[in-house]
Amino acid sequence: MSSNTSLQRVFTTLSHKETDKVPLFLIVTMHGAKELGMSIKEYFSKASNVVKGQLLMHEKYRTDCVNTMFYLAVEVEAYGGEIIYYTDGPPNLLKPIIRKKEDIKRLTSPDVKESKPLEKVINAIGGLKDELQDSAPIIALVVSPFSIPVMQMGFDKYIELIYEDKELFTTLMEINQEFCINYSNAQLEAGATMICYVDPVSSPTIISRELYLETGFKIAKETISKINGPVGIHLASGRALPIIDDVAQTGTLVLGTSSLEDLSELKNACRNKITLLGNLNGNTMPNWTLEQTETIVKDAIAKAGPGGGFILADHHETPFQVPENVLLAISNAVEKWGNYPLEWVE
Amino acid sequence: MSEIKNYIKDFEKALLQINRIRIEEIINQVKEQFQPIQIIDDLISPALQNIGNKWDKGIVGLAQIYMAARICEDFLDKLISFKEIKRKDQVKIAIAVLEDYHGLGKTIIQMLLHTSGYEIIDYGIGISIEDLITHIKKDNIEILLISTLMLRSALKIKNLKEKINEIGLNTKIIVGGAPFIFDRELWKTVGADYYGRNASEAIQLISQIIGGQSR
Repeated sequence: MSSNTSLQRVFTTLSHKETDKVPLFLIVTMHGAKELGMSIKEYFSKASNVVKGQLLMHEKYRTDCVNTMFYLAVEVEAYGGEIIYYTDGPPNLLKPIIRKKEDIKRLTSPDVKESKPLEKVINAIGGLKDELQDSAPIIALVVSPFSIPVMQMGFDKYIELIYEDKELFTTLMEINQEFCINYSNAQLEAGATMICYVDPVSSPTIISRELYLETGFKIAKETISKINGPVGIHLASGRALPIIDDVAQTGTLVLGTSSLEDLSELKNACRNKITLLGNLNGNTMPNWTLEQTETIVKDAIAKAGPGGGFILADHHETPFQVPENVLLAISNAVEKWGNYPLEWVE
Repeated sequence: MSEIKNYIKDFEKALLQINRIRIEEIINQVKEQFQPIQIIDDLISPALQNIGNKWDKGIVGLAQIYMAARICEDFLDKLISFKEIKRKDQVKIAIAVLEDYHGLGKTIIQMLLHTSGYEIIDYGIGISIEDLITHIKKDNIEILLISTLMLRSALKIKNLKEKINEIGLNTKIIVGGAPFIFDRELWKTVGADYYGRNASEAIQLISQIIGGQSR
Protein backbone atom coordinates (compact mmCIF):
# COMPACT_ATOMS: atom_id res chain seq x y z
CA MET A 1 0.00 0.00 0.00
CA SER A 2 1.48 3.37 -1.06
CA SER A 3 2.14 5.65 1.87
CA ASN A 4 3.60 8.75 0.26
CA THR A 5 1.68 11.63 -1.23
CA SER A 6 2.20 12.21 -4.93
CA LEU A 7 4.27 15.27 -4.13
CA GLN A 8 6.59 13.31 -1.84
CA ARG A 9 6.82 10.51 -4.39
CA VAL A 10 7.79 12.87 -7.20
CA PHE A 11 10.31 14.86 -5.20
CA THR A 12 12.03 11.70 -3.93
CA THR A 13 12.20 10.52 -7.53
CA LEU A 14 13.73 13.82 -8.60
CA SER A 15 16.54 13.26 -6.08
CA HIS A 16 17.34 9.94 -7.81
CA LYS A 17 16.19 7.76 -4.96
CA GLU A 18 13.65 4.98 -4.97
CA THR A 19 10.38 6.01 -3.34
CA ASP A 20 7.35 3.81 -2.58
CA LYS A 21 6.14 3.48 -6.18
CA VAL A 22 7.14 4.56 -9.68
CA PRO A 23 5.34 7.87 -10.23
CA LEU A 24 2.83 8.04 -13.07
CA PHE A 25 2.23 11.20 -15.14
CA LEU A 26 -0.40 10.88 -17.87
CA ILE A 27 -0.35 13.97 -20.07
CA VAL A 28 -4.16 14.02 -20.26
CA THR A 29 -5.69 17.32 -21.32
CA MET A 30 -8.70 16.92 -23.66
CA HIS A 31 -9.89 13.82 -21.81
CA GLY A 32 -11.19 16.24 -19.19
CA ALA A 33 -13.83 17.25 -21.74
CA LYS A 34 -14.96 13.62 -21.92
CA GLU A 35 -15.14 13.49 -18.11
CA LEU A 36 -17.46 16.49 -18.04
CA GLY A 37 -19.47 15.53 -21.14
CA MET A 38 -18.46 18.70 -22.99
CA SER A 39 -16.97 19.61 -26.33
CA ILE A 40 -13.24 20.38 -26.27
CA LYS A 41 -14.00 24.01 -27.09
CA GLU A 42 -16.43 24.38 -24.22
CA TYR A 43 -14.07 22.56 -21.85
CA PHE A 44 -11.21 24.93 -22.51
CA SER A 45 -13.40 28.04 -22.35
CA LYS A 46 -13.31 28.20 -18.54
CA ALA A 47 -10.66 27.58 -15.90
CA SER A 48 -13.21 25.89 -13.62
CA ASN A 49 -13.83 23.19 -16.26
CA VAL A 50 -10.13 22.36 -16.45
CA VAL A 51 -9.87 22.31 -12.64
CA LYS A 52 -12.78 19.83 -12.38
CA GLY A 53 -11.49 17.74 -15.28
CA GLN A 54 -7.94 17.49 -14.00
CA LEU A 55 -9.10 16.57 -10.47
CA LEU A 56 -11.42 13.86 -11.80
CA MET A 57 -8.67 12.37 -13.94
CA HIS A 58 -6.08 12.59 -11.17
CA GLU A 59 -8.36 10.56 -8.93
CA LYS A 60 -9.59 8.14 -11.57
CA TYR A 61 -6.19 7.30 -13.04
CA ARG A 62 -4.25 7.63 -9.76
CA THR A 63 -1.71 9.86 -11.47
CA ASP A 64 0.98 11.65 -9.53
CA CYS A 65 0.41 15.08 -10.98
CA VAL A 66 -2.15 17.34 -12.54
CA ASN A 67 -1.24 19.54 -15.50
CA THR A 68 -2.54 22.90 -16.58
CA MET A 69 -1.86 22.65 -20.29
CA PHE A 70 -4.96 23.91 -22.04
CA TYR A 71 -3.39 23.69 -25.52
CA LEU A 72 0.13 24.57 -26.70
CA ALA A 73 -1.13 27.41 -28.90
CA VAL A 74 -2.58 29.35 -25.93
CA GLU A 75 0.63 31.38 -25.73
CA VAL A 76 0.44 32.42 -29.38
CA GLU A 77 -3.23 33.21 -28.77
CA ALA A 78 -1.93 35.66 -26.16
CA TYR A 79 0.25 37.20 -28.91
CA GLY A 80 -2.94 37.71 -30.96
CA GLY A 81 -3.26 34.39 -32.77
CA GLU A 82 -6.57 32.79 -33.73
CA ILE A 83 -7.41 29.30 -32.52
CA ILE A 84 -9.26 26.57 -34.41
CA TYR A 85 -11.08 24.00 -32.29
CA TYR A 86 -11.76 20.40 -33.24
CA THR A 87 -14.18 17.89 -31.81
CA ASP A 88 -11.52 15.18 -31.62
CA GLY A 89 -8.09 16.73 -31.22
CA PRO A 90 -6.07 19.53 -29.69
CA PRO A 91 -6.93 23.13 -30.56
CA ASN A 92 -4.45 24.56 -33.07
CA LEU A 93 -3.33 27.92 -34.31
CA LEU A 94 -5.12 28.87 -37.53
CA LYS A 95 -2.31 30.89 -39.09
CA PRO A 96 1.03 32.43 -38.12
CA ILE A 97 1.08 35.85 -36.45
CA ILE A 98 4.41 36.73 -38.09
CA ARG A 99 3.69 36.84 -41.84
CA LYS A 100 7.08 38.12 -42.94
CA LYS A 101 10.27 38.20 -40.89
CA GLU A 102 10.30 42.01 -40.77
CA ASP A 103 7.19 41.77 -38.55
CA ILE A 104 9.57 40.62 -35.79
CA LYS A 105 10.84 44.20 -35.46
CA ARG A 106 7.32 45.29 -34.43
CA LEU A 107 6.53 42.29 -32.21
CA THR A 108 6.01 42.84 -28.51
CA SER A 109 5.43 40.15 -25.91
CA PRO A 110 1.99 40.08 -24.27
CA ASP A 111 1.50 41.31 -20.71
CA VAL A 112 0.77 38.10 -18.82
CA LYS A 113 -1.49 39.90 -16.34
CA GLU A 114 -3.61 41.50 -19.08
CA SER A 115 -4.02 38.46 -21.33
CA LYS A 116 -7.45 36.77 -21.36
CA PRO A 117 -6.18 33.42 -22.71
CA LEU A 118 -3.43 33.27 -20.08
CA GLU A 119 -5.80 34.41 -17.33
CA LYS A 120 -7.72 31.15 -17.79
CA VAL A 121 -4.55 29.14 -17.23
CA ILE A 122 -3.49 31.16 -14.18
CA ASN A 123 -6.97 30.77 -12.69
CA ALA A 124 -6.91 27.03 -13.31
CA ILE A 125 -3.61 26.78 -11.44
CA GLY A 126 -5.08 28.72 -8.52
CA GLY A 127 -8.16 26.49 -8.47
CA LEU A 128 -6.08 23.32 -8.46
CA LYS A 129 -3.83 24.67 -5.72
CA ASP A 130 -6.85 25.41 -3.53
CA GLU A 131 -8.05 21.82 -3.93
CA LEU A 132 -4.79 19.89 -3.85
CA GLN A 133 -2.71 22.05 -1.52
CA ASP A 134 0.58 20.12 -1.31
CA SER A 135 -0.70 16.63 -2.04
CA ALA A 136 0.28 16.48 -5.73
CA PRO A 137 2.48 18.50 -8.07
CA ILE A 138 0.76 20.99 -10.36
CA ILE A 139 2.71 21.00 -13.63
CA ALA A 140 2.36 24.21 -15.65
CA LEU A 141 3.58 24.50 -19.23
CA VAL A 142 5.51 27.00 -21.27
CA VAL A 143 6.69 26.64 -24.84
CA SER A 144 10.39 27.51 -25.01
CA PRO A 145 11.47 30.79 -26.63
CA PHE A 146 13.34 28.63 -29.15
CA SER A 147 10.34 26.47 -30.12
CA ILE A 148 7.37 28.86 -30.03
CA PRO A 149 8.37 30.55 -33.34
CA VAL A 150 7.24 27.39 -35.14
CA MET A 151 3.71 28.51 -34.30
CA GLN A 152 4.46 32.25 -34.50
CA MET A 153 5.79 32.18 -38.07
CA GLY A 154 5.50 28.69 -39.54
CA PHE A 155 8.13 25.98 -39.37
CA ASP A 156 9.71 26.57 -42.79
CA LYS A 157 10.12 30.33 -42.33
CA TYR A 158 11.52 29.79 -38.84
CA ILE A 159 14.15 27.32 -40.04
CA GLU A 160 15.23 29.87 -42.66
CA LEU A 161 15.42 32.56 -39.97
CA ILE A 162 17.67 30.41 -37.78
CA TYR A 163 20.12 29.75 -40.60
CA GLU A 164 19.92 32.98 -42.59
CA ASP A 165 19.14 35.95 -40.34
CA LYS A 166 20.99 35.85 -37.04
CA GLU A 167 20.03 39.41 -36.15
CA LEU A 168 16.28 38.93 -36.42
CA PHE A 169 16.56 35.48 -34.85
CA THR A 170 18.28 37.04 -31.83
CA THR A 171 15.63 39.76 -31.61
CA LEU A 172 12.86 37.16 -31.68
CA MET A 173 14.58 35.09 -28.99
CA GLU A 174 14.88 38.14 -26.71
CA ILE A 175 11.17 38.93 -27.07
CA ASN A 176 10.14 35.32 -26.52
CA GLN A 177 12.53 34.81 -23.62
CA GLU A 178 11.12 37.78 -21.73
CA PHE A 179 7.61 36.41 -22.17
CA CYS A 180 8.59 32.84 -21.26
CA ILE A 181 10.25 33.93 -18.00
CA ASN A 182 7.34 36.20 -17.03
CA TYR A 183 4.72 33.59 -17.88
CA SER A 184 6.60 30.81 -16.04
CA ASN A 185 7.01 32.90 -12.91
CA ALA A 186 3.37 34.03 -13.00
CA GLN A 187 2.30 30.38 -13.10
CA LEU A 188 4.59 29.52 -10.18
CA GLU A 189 3.21 32.47 -8.20
CA ALA A 190 -0.31 31.22 -8.89
CA GLY A 191 0.56 27.89 -7.28
CA ALA A 192 2.24 25.71 -9.91
CA THR A 193 4.83 23.33 -8.46
CA MET A 194 6.98 22.94 -11.53
CA ILE A 195 7.31 24.30 -15.04
CA CYS A 196 7.36 21.97 -18.04
CA TYR A 197 9.53 23.73 -20.65
CA VAL A 198 8.33 22.33 -24.00
CA ASP A 199 11.20 22.49 -26.48
CA PRO A 200 10.80 20.15 -29.48
CA VAL A 201 12.97 22.23 -31.83
CA SER A 202 15.99 21.50 -29.61
CA SER A 203 15.60 17.78 -30.32
CA PRO A 204 18.06 16.06 -32.72
CA THR A 205 14.91 15.08 -34.64
CA ILE A 206 14.78 18.72 -35.74
CA ILE A 207 18.27 20.23 -35.51
CA SER A 208 21.85 18.97 -35.30
CA ARG A 209 23.60 18.89 -31.95
CA GLU A 210 26.04 21.52 -33.23
CA LEU A 211 23.22 23.94 -33.95
CA TYR A 212 21.50 23.06 -30.66
CA LEU A 213 24.60 24.03 -28.70
CA GLU A 214 24.65 27.45 -30.40
CA THR A 215 20.93 28.06 -29.99
CA GLY A 216 18.42 26.02 -27.98
CA PHE A 217 20.93 24.95 -25.35
CA LYS A 218 22.07 28.51 -24.55
CA ILE A 219 18.52 29.81 -24.58
CA ALA A 220 17.31 27.03 -22.28
CA LYS A 221 20.17 27.53 -19.82
CA GLU A 222 19.63 31.27 -19.66
CA THR A 223 15.84 31.07 -19.46
CA ILE A 224 15.73 28.30 -16.86
CA SER A 225 18.16 30.24 -14.65
CA LYS A 226 15.56 33.02 -14.41
CA ILE A 227 12.56 30.80 -13.67
CA ASN A 228 11.86 30.84 -9.95
CA GLY A 229 11.11 27.18 -9.48
CA PRO A 230 11.91 23.66 -10.66
CA VAL A 231 11.85 23.06 -14.41
CA GLY A 232 11.55 19.96 -16.57
CA ILE A 233 12.34 19.98 -20.29
CA HIS A 234 10.05 18.09 -22.66
CA LEU A 235 10.98 17.37 -26.28
CA ALA A 236 7.41 16.46 -27.32
CA SER A 237 8.30 13.01 -28.73
CA GLY A 238 11.54 14.21 -30.33
CA ARG A 239 14.74 12.17 -29.91
CA ALA A 240 17.08 13.02 -27.02
CA LEU A 241 20.03 10.62 -26.70
CA PRO A 242 22.65 12.67 -28.61
CA ILE A 243 22.06 15.72 -26.38
CA ILE A 244 21.27 14.30 -22.92
CA ASP A 245 24.60 15.34 -21.40
CA ASP A 246 24.05 18.84 -22.77
CA VAL A 247 20.44 19.03 -21.55
CA ALA A 248 21.66 18.02 -18.08
CA GLN A 249 23.65 21.24 -17.97
CA THR A 250 20.68 23.54 -18.64
CA GLY A 251 19.40 23.39 -15.08
CA THR A 252 16.49 21.09 -15.86
CA LEU A 253 15.58 18.39 -13.35
CA VAL A 254 13.59 16.23 -15.77
CA LEU A 255 13.68 15.27 -19.44
CA GLY A 256 10.56 14.12 -21.34
CA THR A 257 11.57 11.53 -23.95
CA SER A 258 10.29 9.74 -27.05
CA SER A 259 9.15 6.21 -27.82
CA LEU A 260 11.55 6.35 -30.78
CA GLU A 261 14.44 5.68 -28.39
CA ASP A 262 15.12 2.68 -26.17
CA LEU A 263 14.18 3.31 -22.55
CA SER A 264 17.18 1.38 -21.16
CA GLU A 265 19.58 3.54 -23.18
CA LEU A 266 17.73 6.67 -22.07
CA LYS A 267 17.91 5.60 -18.43
CA ASN A 268 21.64 4.89 -18.67
CA ALA A 269 22.24 8.30 -20.19
CA CYS A 270 20.08 10.12 -17.62
CA ARG A 271 21.07 8.15 -14.50
CA ASN A 272 21.84 10.41 -11.53
CA LYS A 273 21.89 13.47 -13.84
CA ILE A 274 18.26 14.17 -14.73
CA THR A 275 15.03 12.35 -14.04
CA LEU A 276 13.75 10.44 -17.04
CA LEU A 277 10.11 10.99 -18.04
CA GLY A 278 8.57 8.74 -20.65
CA ASN A 279 8.23 7.09 -22.97
CA LEU A 280 4.87 5.45 -23.67
CA ASN A 281 3.81 5.76 -27.32
CA GLY A 282 0.56 7.70 -27.29
CA ASN A 283 0.10 7.19 -31.03
CA THR A 284 -0.32 3.43 -30.69
CA MET A 285 -2.11 3.64 -27.34
CA PRO A 286 -5.62 3.81 -28.85
CA ASN A 287 -5.13 0.25 -30.10
CA TRP A 288 -3.56 -1.35 -27.05
CA THR A 289 -5.31 -4.35 -25.57
CA LEU A 290 -5.42 -4.57 -21.79
CA GLU A 291 -2.84 -7.37 -21.85
CA GLN A 292 -0.51 -5.38 -24.11
CA THR A 293 -0.87 -2.37 -21.84
CA GLU A 294 0.25 -4.30 -18.78
CA THR A 295 3.20 -5.80 -20.69
CA ILE A 296 4.32 -2.42 -22.01
CA VAL A 297 4.12 -0.74 -18.60
CA LYS A 298 5.87 -3.65 -16.86
CA ASP A 299 8.62 -3.56 -19.47
CA ALA A 300 9.10 0.19 -19.05
CA ILE A 301 9.33 -0.12 -15.27
CA ALA A 302 11.86 -2.96 -15.58
CA LYS A 303 14.04 -0.90 -17.92
CA ALA A 304 13.96 2.44 -16.17
CA GLY A 305 12.51 2.02 -12.67
CA PRO A 306 15.42 0.57 -10.68
CA GLY A 307 17.35 3.21 -8.77
CA GLY A 308 14.61 5.83 -8.96
CA GLY A 309 14.95 8.86 -11.21
CA PHE A 310 12.12 7.66 -13.46
CA ILE A 311 8.57 8.88 -13.98
CA LEU A 312 6.36 6.80 -16.27
CA ALA A 313 4.51 8.98 -18.76
CA ASP A 314 3.40 9.16 -22.36
CA HIS A 315 5.81 10.77 -24.79
CA HIS A 316 3.46 13.59 -25.79
CA GLU A 317 -0.02 14.88 -24.92
CA THR A 318 -2.38 11.88 -24.67
CA PRO A 319 -4.37 11.65 -27.92
CA PHE A 320 -8.11 12.16 -27.55
CA GLN A 321 -8.60 8.74 -29.20
CA VAL A 322 -7.05 6.81 -26.28
CA PRO A 323 -9.93 5.05 -24.53
CA GLU A 324 -10.48 5.21 -20.78
CA ASN A 325 -9.93 1.50 -20.31
CA VAL A 326 -6.35 1.76 -21.63
CA LEU A 327 -5.58 4.66 -19.27
CA LEU A 328 -7.01 2.64 -16.38
CA ALA A 329 -4.98 -0.36 -17.46
CA ILE A 330 -1.80 1.76 -17.38
CA SER A 331 -2.66 2.90 -13.88
CA ASN A 332 -3.48 -0.65 -12.74
CA ALA A 333 -0.21 -1.93 -14.15
CA VAL A 334 1.75 0.70 -12.21
CA GLU A 335 -0.09 -0.31 -9.02
CA LYS A 336 0.74 -3.95 -9.71
CA TRP A 337 4.34 -3.70 -10.90
CA GLY A 338 5.58 -0.28 -9.81
CA ASN A 339 6.08 -0.77 -6.05
CA TYR A 340 9.67 -0.32 -4.93
CA PRO A 341 12.04 -2.06 -4.37
CA LEU A 342 10.96 -3.76 -7.68
CA GLU A 343 12.12 -7.18 -6.47
CA TRP A 344 10.69 -8.87 -9.55
CA VAL A 345 13.14 -7.06 -11.85
CA GLU A 346 16.17 -9.18 -12.71
CA MET B 1 37.11 13.20 -66.57
CA SER B 2 35.97 12.18 -63.12
CA GLU B 3 32.72 10.41 -62.44
CA ILE B 4 29.93 12.52 -61.04
CA LYS B 5 29.34 10.10 -58.19
CA ASN B 6 32.75 11.09 -56.79
CA TYR B 7 31.21 14.43 -55.87
CA ILE B 8 28.25 13.02 -53.91
CA LYS B 9 29.95 12.68 -50.53
CA ASP B 10 31.37 16.21 -50.63
CA PHE B 11 28.09 17.65 -51.90
CA GLU B 12 26.11 15.89 -49.20
CA LYS B 13 28.47 17.16 -46.52
CA ALA B 14 28.15 20.72 -47.80
CA LEU B 15 24.35 20.42 -47.83
CA LEU B 16 24.26 19.17 -44.24
CA GLN B 17 26.52 22.02 -43.17
CA ILE B 18 24.31 24.46 -45.13
CA ASN B 19 27.54 25.66 -46.71
CA ARG B 20 26.25 27.60 -49.73
CA ILE B 21 29.74 28.64 -50.81
CA ARG B 22 30.99 25.06 -51.02
CA ILE B 23 27.76 23.91 -52.66
CA GLU B 24 28.15 26.56 -55.34
CA GLU B 25 31.80 25.55 -55.89
CA ILE B 26 30.79 21.93 -56.46
CA ILE B 27 27.90 22.86 -58.76
CA ASN B 28 30.24 25.06 -60.83
CA GLN B 29 32.79 22.23 -61.06
CA VAL B 30 30.25 19.64 -62.21
CA LYS B 31 28.53 22.08 -64.60
CA GLU B 32 31.70 22.12 -66.67
CA GLN B 33 31.75 18.36 -67.03
CA PHE B 34 28.19 17.09 -66.98
CA GLN B 35 24.76 17.88 -68.41
CA PRO B 36 22.17 19.46 -66.06
CA ILE B 37 19.92 16.38 -66.19
CA GLN B 38 22.84 14.20 -65.12
CA ILE B 39 23.69 16.61 -62.30
CA ILE B 40 20.13 16.29 -61.03
CA ASP B 41 19.79 12.53 -61.44
CA ASP B 42 23.28 11.48 -60.37
CA LEU B 43 24.30 14.11 -57.85
CA ILE B 44 21.48 16.18 -56.39
CA SER B 45 18.82 13.46 -56.11
CA PRO B 46 21.11 10.80 -54.60
CA ALA B 47 22.57 13.30 -52.12
CA LEU B 48 19.09 14.38 -50.99
CA GLN B 49 18.02 10.75 -50.80
CA ASN B 50 20.99 9.90 -48.57
CA ILE B 51 20.17 12.83 -46.31
CA GLY B 52 16.53 11.73 -46.11
CA ASN B 53 17.55 8.21 -45.11
CA LYS B 54 19.83 9.63 -42.42
CA TRP B 55 16.89 11.51 -40.92
CA ASP B 56 14.92 8.31 -40.75
CA LYS B 57 17.77 6.77 -38.73
CA GLY B 58 17.95 9.79 -36.41
CA ILE B 59 21.32 10.96 -37.71
CA VAL B 60 20.33 14.34 -39.16
CA GLY B 61 17.63 16.87 -38.21
CA LEU B 62 14.54 17.87 -40.14
CA ALA B 63 15.81 21.45 -40.40
CA GLN B 64 18.87 20.18 -42.30
CA ILE B 65 16.61 18.28 -44.72
CA TYR B 66 14.50 21.37 -45.30
CA MET B 67 17.48 23.65 -45.91
CA ALA B 68 19.22 21.08 -48.13
CA ALA B 69 16.08 20.76 -50.26
CA ARG B 70 15.63 24.56 -50.34
CA ILE B 71 19.20 25.18 -51.45
CA CYS B 72 19.04 22.48 -54.13
CA GLU B 73 15.82 23.99 -55.46
CA ASP B 74 17.45 27.45 -55.54
CA PHE B 75 20.45 26.11 -57.49
CA LEU B 76 18.25 24.04 -59.77
CA ASP B 77 16.31 27.12 -60.82
CA LYS B 78 19.59 28.77 -61.88
CA LEU B 79 20.95 25.61 -63.51
CA ILE B 80 18.09 24.61 -65.76
CA SER B 81 14.49 25.52 -66.48
CA PHE B 82 11.85 23.18 -65.07
CA LYS B 83 10.57 22.60 -68.62
CA GLU B 84 13.81 20.81 -69.46
CA ILE B 85 13.68 18.39 -66.52
CA LYS B 86 9.94 17.90 -66.38
CA ARG B 87 8.92 14.29 -66.84
CA LYS B 88 7.02 13.58 -70.09
CA ASP B 89 3.42 12.46 -70.00
CA GLN B 90 3.47 12.56 -66.25
CA VAL B 91 0.44 11.26 -64.35
CA LYS B 92 -1.45 13.86 -62.33
CA ILE B 93 0.02 14.13 -58.83
CA ALA B 94 -1.28 16.34 -56.02
CA ILE B 95 -0.28 17.02 -52.44
CA ALA B 96 -2.26 18.22 -49.43
CA VAL B 97 -2.27 18.50 -45.67
CA LEU B 98 -5.65 17.11 -44.65
CA GLU B 99 -7.50 19.03 -41.90
CA ASP B 100 -4.19 20.07 -40.40
CA TYR B 101 -2.20 23.31 -40.55
CA HIS B 102 1.30 21.87 -40.20
CA GLY B 103 2.85 22.27 -43.61
CA LEU B 104 6.59 21.57 -43.29
CA GLY B 105 6.43 17.94 -44.45
CA LYS B 106 4.43 18.94 -47.52
CA THR B 107 6.90 21.73 -48.36
CA ILE B 108 9.89 19.39 -48.14
CA ILE B 109 8.30 16.74 -50.34
CA GLN B 110 7.23 19.33 -52.90
CA MET B 111 10.76 20.67 -53.18
CA LEU B 112 12.25 17.21 -53.56
CA LEU B 113 9.70 16.18 -56.16
CA HIS B 114 10.31 19.42 -58.06
CA THR B 115 14.07 18.78 -58.17
CA SER B 116 13.30 15.31 -59.54
CA GLY B 117 11.22 16.73 -62.38
CA TYR B 118 7.74 16.02 -61.05
CA GLU B 119 5.01 18.64 -61.44
CA ILE B 120 2.80 18.65 -58.35
CA ILE B 121 -0.56 20.33 -57.83
CA ASP B 122 -0.65 21.85 -54.36
CA TYR B 123 -4.01 21.75 -52.57
CA GLY B 124 -2.56 23.52 -49.55
CA ILE B 125 -3.01 22.99 -45.84
CA GLY B 126 -6.10 22.62 -43.67
CA ILE B 127 -8.19 21.28 -46.57
CA SER B 128 -11.37 19.36 -45.78
CA ILE B 129 -12.28 15.92 -47.17
CA GLU B 130 -15.12 17.41 -49.22
CA ASP B 131 -12.92 20.05 -50.84
CA LEU B 132 -10.20 17.51 -51.53
CA ILE B 133 -12.64 15.17 -53.27
CA THR B 134 -13.90 18.06 -55.42
CA HIS B 135 -10.34 18.93 -56.44
CA ILE B 136 -9.10 15.42 -57.21
CA LYS B 137 -12.21 14.68 -59.27
CA LYS B 138 -11.85 17.87 -61.28
CA ASP B 139 -8.10 17.44 -61.80
CA ASN B 140 -8.19 13.67 -62.43
CA ILE B 141 -5.54 13.08 -59.80
CA GLU B 142 -3.95 9.67 -59.98
CA ILE B 143 -1.54 9.98 -57.05
CA LEU B 144 -2.41 11.97 -53.93
CA LEU B 145 0.27 12.64 -51.31
CA ILE B 146 -1.09 13.43 -47.86
CA SER B 147 1.06 14.75 -45.04
CA THR B 148 -0.25 15.11 -41.49
CA LEU B 149 1.14 15.89 -38.05
CA MET B 150 -1.94 15.21 -35.95
CA LEU B 151 -3.41 11.78 -35.28
CA ARG B 152 -6.98 13.07 -35.74
CA SER B 153 -6.09 14.21 -39.27
CA ALA B 154 -4.40 10.92 -40.11
CA LEU B 155 -7.54 9.04 -39.05
CA LYS B 156 -9.64 11.15 -41.44
CA ILE B 157 -7.80 9.55 -44.36
CA LYS B 158 -10.03 6.52 -43.85
CA ASN B 159 -13.11 8.63 -44.64
CA LEU B 160 -11.33 10.15 -47.63
CA LYS B 161 -10.44 6.74 -49.04
CA GLU B 162 -13.99 5.50 -48.57
CA LYS B 163 -15.34 8.48 -50.51
CA ILE B 164 -12.77 7.95 -53.27
CA ASN B 165 -13.88 4.32 -53.60
CA GLU B 166 -17.58 5.27 -53.45
CA ILE B 167 -17.23 7.68 -56.34
CA GLY B 168 -15.14 5.20 -58.30
CA LEU B 169 -11.98 7.30 -58.60
CA ASN B 170 -8.70 5.53 -59.17
CA THR B 171 -6.59 7.83 -56.97
CA LYS B 172 -3.76 6.17 -55.07
CA ILE B 173 -2.96 7.68 -51.68
CA ILE B 174 0.60 7.92 -50.32
CA VAL B 175 0.74 9.09 -46.69
CA GLY B 176 3.50 10.46 -44.52
CA GLY B 177 4.09 12.41 -41.32
CA ALA B 178 4.59 11.92 -37.62
CA PRO B 179 1.48 9.76 -36.85
CA PHE B 180 2.70 7.21 -39.39
CA ILE B 181 6.23 7.22 -37.99
CA PHE B 182 5.06 6.45 -34.47
CA ASP B 183 2.50 3.86 -35.58
CA ARG B 184 3.92 1.88 -38.51
CA GLU B 185 0.60 0.09 -39.09
CA LEU B 186 -1.50 3.25 -39.20
CA TRP B 187 -1.27 3.67 -42.98
CA LYS B 188 -2.98 0.30 -43.41
CA THR B 189 -5.58 1.08 -40.73
CA VAL B 190 -6.64 4.25 -42.56
CA GLY B 191 -6.73 2.51 -45.93
CA ALA B 192 -3.85 4.37 -47.58
CA ASP B 193 -2.27 2.65 -50.54
CA TYR B 194 1.32 3.43 -49.57
CA TYR B 195 3.38 4.96 -46.78
CA GLY B 196 6.55 6.99 -47.30
CA ARG B 197 8.88 7.10 -44.27
CA ASN B 198 10.51 10.20 -45.66
CA ALA B 199 10.40 12.40 -48.74
CA SER B 200 12.95 10.27 -50.63
CA GLU B 201 10.83 7.18 -50.13
CA ALA B 202 7.77 9.06 -51.38
CA ILE B 203 9.66 9.76 -54.63
CA GLN B 204 10.61 6.10 -54.97
CA LEU B 205 6.99 5.08 -54.44
CA ILE B 206 5.77 7.49 -57.11
CA SER B 207 8.33 6.09 -59.50
CA GLN B 208 7.23 2.57 -58.62
CA ILE B 209 3.53 3.38 -59.10
CA ILE B 210 3.97 4.98 -62.50
CA GLY B 211 6.60 2.50 -63.66
CA GLY B 212 9.60 4.88 -63.80
CA GLN B 213 8.49 7.49 -66.31
CA SER B 214 11.23 9.07 -68.36
CA ARG B 215 11.56 12.72 -69.19
